[in-house]
Amino acid sequence: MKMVVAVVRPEQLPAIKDALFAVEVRQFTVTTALGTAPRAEQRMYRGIEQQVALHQRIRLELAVDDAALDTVLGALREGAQAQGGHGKVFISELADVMTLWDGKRGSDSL
Amino acid sequence: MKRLATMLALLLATPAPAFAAEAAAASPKFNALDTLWVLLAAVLVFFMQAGFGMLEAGLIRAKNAANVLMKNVMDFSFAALGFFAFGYAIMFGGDGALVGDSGWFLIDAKSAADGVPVEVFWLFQAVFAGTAATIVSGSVAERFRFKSYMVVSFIVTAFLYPVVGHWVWGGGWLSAMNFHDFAGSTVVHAVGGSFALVAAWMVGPRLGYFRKDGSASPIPGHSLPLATLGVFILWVGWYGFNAGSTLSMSDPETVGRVAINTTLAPAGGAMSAMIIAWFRFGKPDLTIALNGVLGGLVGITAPCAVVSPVSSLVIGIVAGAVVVFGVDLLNRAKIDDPVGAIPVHGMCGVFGTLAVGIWGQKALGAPLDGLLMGGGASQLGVQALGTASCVGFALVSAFILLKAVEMTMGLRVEEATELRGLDVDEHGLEAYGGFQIFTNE
Repeated sequence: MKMVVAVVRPEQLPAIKDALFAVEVRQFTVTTALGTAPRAEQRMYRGIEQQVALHQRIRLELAVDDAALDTVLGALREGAQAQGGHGKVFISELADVMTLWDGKRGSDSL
Repeated sequence: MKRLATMLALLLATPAPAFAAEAAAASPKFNALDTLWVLLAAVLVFFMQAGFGMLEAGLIRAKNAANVLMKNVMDFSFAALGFFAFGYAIMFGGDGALVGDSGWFLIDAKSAADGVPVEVFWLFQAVFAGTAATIVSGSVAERFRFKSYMVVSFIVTAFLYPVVGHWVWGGGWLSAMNFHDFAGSTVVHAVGGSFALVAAWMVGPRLGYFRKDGSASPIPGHSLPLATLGVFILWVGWYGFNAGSTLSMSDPETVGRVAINTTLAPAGGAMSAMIIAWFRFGKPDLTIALNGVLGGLVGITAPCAVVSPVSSLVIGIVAGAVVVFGVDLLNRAKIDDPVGAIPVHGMCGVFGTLAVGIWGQKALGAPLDGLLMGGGASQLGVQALGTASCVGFALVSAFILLKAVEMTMGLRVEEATELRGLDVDEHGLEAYGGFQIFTNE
């Protein structure tokens, strides 16, 4: 099992969500986050220059079975492309999962 | 203690007659009480701008709130400038059948209200023009390009709204026909609603509002407390809008009747909108009830002086129903109106104008008794002709104006801007800086 964490821009979320739904991936968690970018964005606030170093980001977390990993990553890429394809996906080994309702463990729980 | 009271009474009593005599000597042609009333009413109507701002900001997503507020600030400012330079002259500059043509920049302009100076009367009319303009900002919220909106808004208040205003209130052809629109169900609301309809249709729905199968998917407003505050502010302001349209305090009974009608109709509108929505959608929806209040207010705006309180309650109840069915109708027509401006102002504006011909009473000042008051259908016919002409003019002129703007500047923001939010891309700021907000779901 893998833990997949995608950090993307807010404008990418609708298309990514649709792409995941399209491949029947319906269990994931979305949180707002702030993230850095290679360059600070310059904004003007009441005539004063403002360096915005932290940008709005969306953090998407999914636990996936090894067999489904490529499908999920494909869907993430496809969804991200709709708005420029920015972002990163972090994939790590997931030791175990438990569903609280019935206590199922591991792949059965996904 | 008694002596003190006598002295106080003397102190309070003496200056008043002296002051009144002085005022009368200085300007015998003005009536101080009427002027005070119109000025006070103008300030109340101006406060409605705050109501519109809060309502519109609350009913849309946080990422576009600053943009819609910016549009509210600027469309009133442009309305004041445009109505000063051109609008007043077109609306009140003489008795031409179609347009007025004197008093540009208020130079040698005349007041159309007896005993009220032109400066005060202008202010009262300018805040009405601002109201007509700001109706549009809600219906095109979250996707209309800011720069293009400014151009449209200025032309509407400087040139288009005053034409209809002249027809009805400025001595134009509809006032000659005894068309009765006391405070502007047609002039302000149906016309503003028509501009809103054309603009919302031409700019297209917000991304994600209509699913692929064509059904509407809700985009909930981000702050219902703000929206509710906005509606209460609008309701307060409406006492200026309607009762102030007497332009005089010489007939307190009429002023009082307008005020009570301006209370009963929105109450009825809220009630019927809530009940219908409860039956149709399963729960009493706050935003629909808010629209019901406004529908009742718009509906009673034309007939407020010439119908009885019972009739005004009936008018409000019908207007509340018009709102609920109007919201549904727009969704079926694939037109996205985030705040319900088109049902509230456009549809209830037309209905309120017709209501004069149905419930109006000659004894209360209507040109003729209405259909249900035993006067036959002739006033209803005049009302229908009047509102159809004004709405027709608004729809056609709005289409030409928006087409021209579409071809030169474009109506809609880029897709990426819409997804990111208009606040950051168009204005470089956020409505709620420092808060973490979902801009998309």
